[in-house]
Amino acid sequence: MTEPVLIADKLNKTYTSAAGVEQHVLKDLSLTVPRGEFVAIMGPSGSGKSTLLNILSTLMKPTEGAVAINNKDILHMTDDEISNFRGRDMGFIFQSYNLIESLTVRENIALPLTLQKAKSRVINDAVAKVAALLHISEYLDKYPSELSGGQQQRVGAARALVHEPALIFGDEPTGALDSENAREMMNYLTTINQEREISIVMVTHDPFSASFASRILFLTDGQITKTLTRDDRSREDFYNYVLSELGNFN
Amino acid sequence: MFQIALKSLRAKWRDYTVLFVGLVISAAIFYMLSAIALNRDFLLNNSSIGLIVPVFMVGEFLLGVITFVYLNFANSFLLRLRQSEYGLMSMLGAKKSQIGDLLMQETLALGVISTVIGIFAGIGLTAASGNFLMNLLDTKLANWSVFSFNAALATLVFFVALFFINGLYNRGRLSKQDTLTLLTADKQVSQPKRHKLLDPLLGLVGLGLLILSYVMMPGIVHLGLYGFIVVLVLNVWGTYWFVSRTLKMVTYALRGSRFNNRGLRSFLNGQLLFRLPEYQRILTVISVMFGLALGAMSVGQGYYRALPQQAQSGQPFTAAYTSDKISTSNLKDITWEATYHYSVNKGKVYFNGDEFNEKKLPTVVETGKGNDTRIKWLTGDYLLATPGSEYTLTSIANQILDKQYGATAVVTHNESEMAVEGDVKSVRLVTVKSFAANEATLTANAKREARLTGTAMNHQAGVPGMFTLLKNVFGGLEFMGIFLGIAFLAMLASTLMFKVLSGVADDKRRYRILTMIGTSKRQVTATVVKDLGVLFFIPLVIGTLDVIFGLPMFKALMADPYVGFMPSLIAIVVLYVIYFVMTVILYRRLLK
Ligand SMILES: Nc1ncnc2c1ncn2[C@@H]1O[C@H](COP(=O)(O)OP(=O)(O)OP(=O)(O)O)[C@@H](O)[C@H]1O
Ligand SMILES: [Mg+2]
Repeated sequence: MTEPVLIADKLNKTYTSAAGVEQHVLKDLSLTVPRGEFVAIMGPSGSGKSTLLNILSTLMKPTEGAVAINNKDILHMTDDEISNFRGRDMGFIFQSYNLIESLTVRENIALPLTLQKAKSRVINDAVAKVAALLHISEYLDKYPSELSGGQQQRVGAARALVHEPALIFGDEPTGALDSENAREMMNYLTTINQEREISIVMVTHDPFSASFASRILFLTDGQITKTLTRDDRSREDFYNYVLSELGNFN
Repeated sequence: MFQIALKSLRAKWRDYTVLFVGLVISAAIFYMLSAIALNRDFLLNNSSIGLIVPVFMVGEFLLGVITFVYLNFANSFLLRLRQSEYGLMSMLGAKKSQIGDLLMQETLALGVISTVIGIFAGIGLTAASGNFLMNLLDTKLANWSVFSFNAALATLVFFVALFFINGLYNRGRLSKQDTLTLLTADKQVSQPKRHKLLDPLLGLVGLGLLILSYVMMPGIVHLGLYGFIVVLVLNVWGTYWFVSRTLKMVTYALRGSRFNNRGLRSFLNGQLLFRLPEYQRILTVISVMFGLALGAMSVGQGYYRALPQQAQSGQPFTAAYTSDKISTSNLKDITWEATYHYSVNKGKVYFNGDEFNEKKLPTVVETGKGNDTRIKWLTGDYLLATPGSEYTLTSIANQILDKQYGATAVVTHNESEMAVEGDVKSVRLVTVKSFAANEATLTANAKREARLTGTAMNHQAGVPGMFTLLKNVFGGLEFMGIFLGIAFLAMLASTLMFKVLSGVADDKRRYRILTMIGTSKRQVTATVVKDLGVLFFIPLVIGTLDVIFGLPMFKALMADPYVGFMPSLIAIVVLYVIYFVMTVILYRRLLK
């Protein structure tokens, strides 16, 4: 396989509650994502999926362990380096939509590009393109509070994709979508994954969404307890395979 | 229901603390001003100007208006904090009227508790700032009292009444909203509507009103108290329309423009637009407060700064020393210096007329034009020929005999006539160009003279004695000006802090999203600076303009109303900028 885009080595995370109780959420978890791979992470609620994703995506520091993206140690970067890195190379699609309610949909989507001081024309083209793909073109001049939950989630996804980052992180990116929209979103993710070699790491509890990935990791109690690879299966076959494995798993 | 309320109190304790502290401070400041404004004896005893009582009444009235806006703002903040919970209760089956009663009770309870604590804080604040200022200005003021029952009562009644009105208003608003709106109140945006025609029109009318108030200000004395109120209303109204509509138009014009499409500008613009409804009112209030603080300080300082000049203008020389142990070599810019001789006999002081023929004696005479005076140089012959012209000598005799007034000075024809009366001693007179520049040395000398000869400082001839006297008369005005200035500044600071802190929870989320998509800490700080900068610096400009045009109102009361302006402006702007930087740092911390 190609060189890895992301390497996580022996990650540990312990939360200390306000009352002083410690909770060991990730336990010596290691993980490698080759460039251009589409990885899904599944597992029961509270198993540490979001925690893992937050650490991989620089939003949180592990208690122990190392994370490298593009061969760079992200835990010891300066703030500016991290910011640059997030702005250029990463996209985030989150469980809650994380939109800025004082900005229109268009402005929300354009943020990563305006932050990089891109030209107006470039911004407009990119926004129009991603909005069309995610079927939100008609809402561009509305405010987030005027959209449905699913629409808001698609806006969040559009913002993560608009600058075509090398690596996309998603936490339940289809959580608020109906099956048709979920399919569209996953198709889009698959397309950019294949055409542009954009790597994707996505947390989901939904086997259907997970079946678009090329590898699925199962997380239980902060450890990877099972790995499924798609290999040459069609998506439908993989979906059935996942369903049957899930049956065994639980 | 009570349990839910308590839970949310715990969850949002930071917001409630902000609200509570803000209310306590505003009550404290209102008490502080009332303690002076309602103390007629103090006002009348410490200023030579009868107008001082209405001036303070207007000050109190203004603070009342500001407090009204402030409380209105605070109460809508309270409503916002409670809204989603009320929504929850309503969803669980509570009746609208029940929720309305709850809101009313909460509002009144909050009002009474914060006002009572505020009054106590106000008493402390009054004592502390009063003592501090009296020490600073080196004056003691008659009838000064820290506790005033009337002020406490006025504060309590006024505040509770305002809370009651606000409670009714909020209750009305609450009953119009449905459960769902209440539940999701946190997430809603209220964009102000844009009026293509009305906005520029009102902006222009506002500017017109503002200019009209500026034009009317210099002639205010002829307009009386009602004129004053008219000008005030014009000014505040004008500021409101002008600032709010201009801000709105600029924000909308930049919306979606090329300029906006760079870095965090669109975000900043969104922030502004989002806050427009609040900003429109708050910016006006802050502008007015800034103007009031600066104006009060300028006038107070103006009196203070005019004192040395005033003390100097009535005196023929700067100081007289009978002790030869006092050196004049430390004085800067001595323009005239002479030594004369005298003798004392039976309560009269004898001078040598010949000596005045050689070294003429300066005397202050009226020019006949208004209150203007000039120095006339008198010879001994003139003094002998013109009885009653020797008042310069009388003041020296007062000093020699340690009297406030009533000493007799006699001019003799020659040295021997003087020597007959008693031992001949000498007195040195000195005049410097600027009393202010030599104040410290002259005061030290006067103290030394007092120690060596036993003559009290206020019995000494010349400027330092006069200055001490004037300070006792006008120190009160200066005190009041600075005191008022402090009151308005404190209110200003508290309003700003309240405004800033009450929005921090929402901003925190927005800024977190920004960092998530690659905004560096430096960029966030820069954006916070700009975001808060609007709130701080628009009022600075407007308030300063208000004062520049407003100071001529005091032409009737003081020779040059502008003497205190620059020092006050510098002092306040320095304080303000420090406060701004502190706020940004605090805000930055809270965003983490
Ligand atoms: N900020 C935090 N402080 C303390 N404990 C936390 C924090 N975030 C998560 N936890 C705890 O860590 C564990 C893992 O949480 P995490 O959010 O990673 O789970 P998850 O797998 O994403 O679950 P879900 O599918 O429900 O989203 C949970 O037990 C949670 O209570
Ligand atoms: Mg999660």
